[in-house]
Amino acid sequence: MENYNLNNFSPSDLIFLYLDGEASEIERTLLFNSLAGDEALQLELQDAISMKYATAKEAEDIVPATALTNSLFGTLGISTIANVTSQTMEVSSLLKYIDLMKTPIMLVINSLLVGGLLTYSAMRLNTPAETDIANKKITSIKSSLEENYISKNLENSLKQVLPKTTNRINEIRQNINSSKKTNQQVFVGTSDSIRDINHYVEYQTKDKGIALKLTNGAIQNKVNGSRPIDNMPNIIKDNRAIDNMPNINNDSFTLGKLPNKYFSNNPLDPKQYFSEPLPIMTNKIVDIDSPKETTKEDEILNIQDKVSDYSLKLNGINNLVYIANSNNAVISNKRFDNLQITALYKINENSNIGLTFGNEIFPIYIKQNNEFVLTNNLVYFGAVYNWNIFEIEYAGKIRSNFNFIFAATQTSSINKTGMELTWFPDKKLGLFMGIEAFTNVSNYRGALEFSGKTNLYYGITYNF
Amino acid sequence: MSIEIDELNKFLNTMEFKKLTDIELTALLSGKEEDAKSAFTEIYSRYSKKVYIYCKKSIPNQNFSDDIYQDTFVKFYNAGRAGKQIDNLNSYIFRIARNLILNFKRDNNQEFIDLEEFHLVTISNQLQEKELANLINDAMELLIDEHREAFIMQAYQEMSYNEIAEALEVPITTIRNRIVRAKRKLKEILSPYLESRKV
Repeated sequence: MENYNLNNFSPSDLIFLYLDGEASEIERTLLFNSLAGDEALQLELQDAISMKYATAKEAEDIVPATALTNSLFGTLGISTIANVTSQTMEVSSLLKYIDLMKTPIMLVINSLLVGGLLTYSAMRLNTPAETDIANKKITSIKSSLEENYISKNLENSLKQVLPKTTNRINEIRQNINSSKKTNQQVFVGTSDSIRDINHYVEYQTKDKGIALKLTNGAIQNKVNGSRPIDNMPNIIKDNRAIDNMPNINNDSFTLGKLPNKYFSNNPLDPKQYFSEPLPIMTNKIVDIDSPKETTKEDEILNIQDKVSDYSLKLNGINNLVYIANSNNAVISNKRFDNLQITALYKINENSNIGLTFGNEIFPIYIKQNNEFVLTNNLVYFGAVYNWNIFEIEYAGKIRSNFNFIFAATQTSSINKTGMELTWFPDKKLGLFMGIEAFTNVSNYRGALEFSGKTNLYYGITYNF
Repeated sequence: MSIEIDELNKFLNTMEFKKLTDIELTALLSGKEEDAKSAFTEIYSRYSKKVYIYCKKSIPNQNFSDDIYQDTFVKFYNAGRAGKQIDNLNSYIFRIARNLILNFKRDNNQEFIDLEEFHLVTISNQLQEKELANLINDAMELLIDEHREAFIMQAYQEMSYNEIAEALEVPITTIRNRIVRAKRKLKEILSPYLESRKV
């Protein structure tokens, strides 16, 4: 440094060299000598210090965005960047949660779920369905029949009465319809001597479907007329009829255990009235008039297998083929790092609508702080329409669907159209697999860009 | 060389990449893929900020500077994997970035800004630190390319004149001249505003 030509640099210039730590000994001496008697030069030194401090301070705050680093490492196929993220900006909390979902422990849990489902399905398939229903019939009715009058007649009664009660059921249905508005349902007892039943009550709930409860003329209700529900238990109890009330719970249907002396076969027993609340969710009337009315017993016995209109799907996605555009020509080599969850509501026999949320490996540009940063993490949330093409009975049920998705992403939108096959070994649980076309429309520096890929997807669905 | 590689592998096993020198890390780039990725990760952690600042300050458009920033490391990694002899890592990475920036400017035909058309806007007479930094950024546009790049390397990346000379492959005296002239020019442009601070 001692050999530098000093002729080029004025004392003002030497200030810069000095502050940069690049001034030679001679230059420093020259500068200090000049500074000693030159006030203007001292002010110049202050200015130079201010400029130097301003640039150094600004440099401290300039770091590459995490997404930019992730994008670069993704391009190079390097996944572990933990030791470089300390220099970069924080990732969004949403992406943190998504990363959590992809941790090895979550993959193990998912595997266990799928394994459990397969085992359960296999067990279900090994149990003949007919035997199952027959067992239900015996356990739910026989056990209570042994102890009272009904036991001698009920099985025959059920077979005989159900077809005969068409007119009576129509009458009840009219009552139901007329009482819907008041949320109260009135059932009228009968004294028809032809039938072996004096009273029957039809309960209907959203969850369980229709249960037909039969009593055999045992309710000695002395009170005529419709009764508010609040008074109902006492009325029944006072008339010693409560013991004979059939009991319906989640998984069984049992008849009452009233002693024989309380049963009456008197066909002249007067009409008796009582009221029952109409469940708020009631919206179905089972058509007992139809030729299928003889399956009413099955309806009763299969209450527990009823499913609602809501279902949930969880699936993984494998990227098969990327269709890149000019801007995201650098594509990810990741194939398995995708997740999607979908909630569906059945709007009719063949259609479902719902919402979906997913995260897939797909190169997009995200605008951050007025910058477009390439990332492979596409997150979307949108609407789903699911259309059942056909359904066949084989090892349970196999259903074929079209699946349409339109969703918003961090940048703009995606479209997914897929076709899938779902196997329901059980009414509630199903396994599905399908292929879908994925198209992405993104805003890249003010221009719309199209790109896409094809996916293989698979997962489990649960009907609530 | 094989002995050195064995020693380096010991470091790899204990995940002590940070203890490796630039030369050792560079040597690993052409080896096993996993080693190369780990070595690159460490190199990136050392140089990413400097390269990023250099690109950002050289190309005002954030989108383009990000592209160049990424391309710099992609080219570097590919060159390392291909067994390119890299003696000075710092210089090598900056030369890649510099070439990409020069190519970009050539292809995009950047216009020269005339001093008479240049106006700096200040919010107040009492310039704050952030304002001054912004003014310097704006004023840098008026520097010729050679002066600006030397200034960026020195002022924002705190590279020594010697390191800059190596990176740009020019004598150190040239770098001294470029940096001093750059700062002299900047001070001249900013002098009205610097004066206002003293009022």
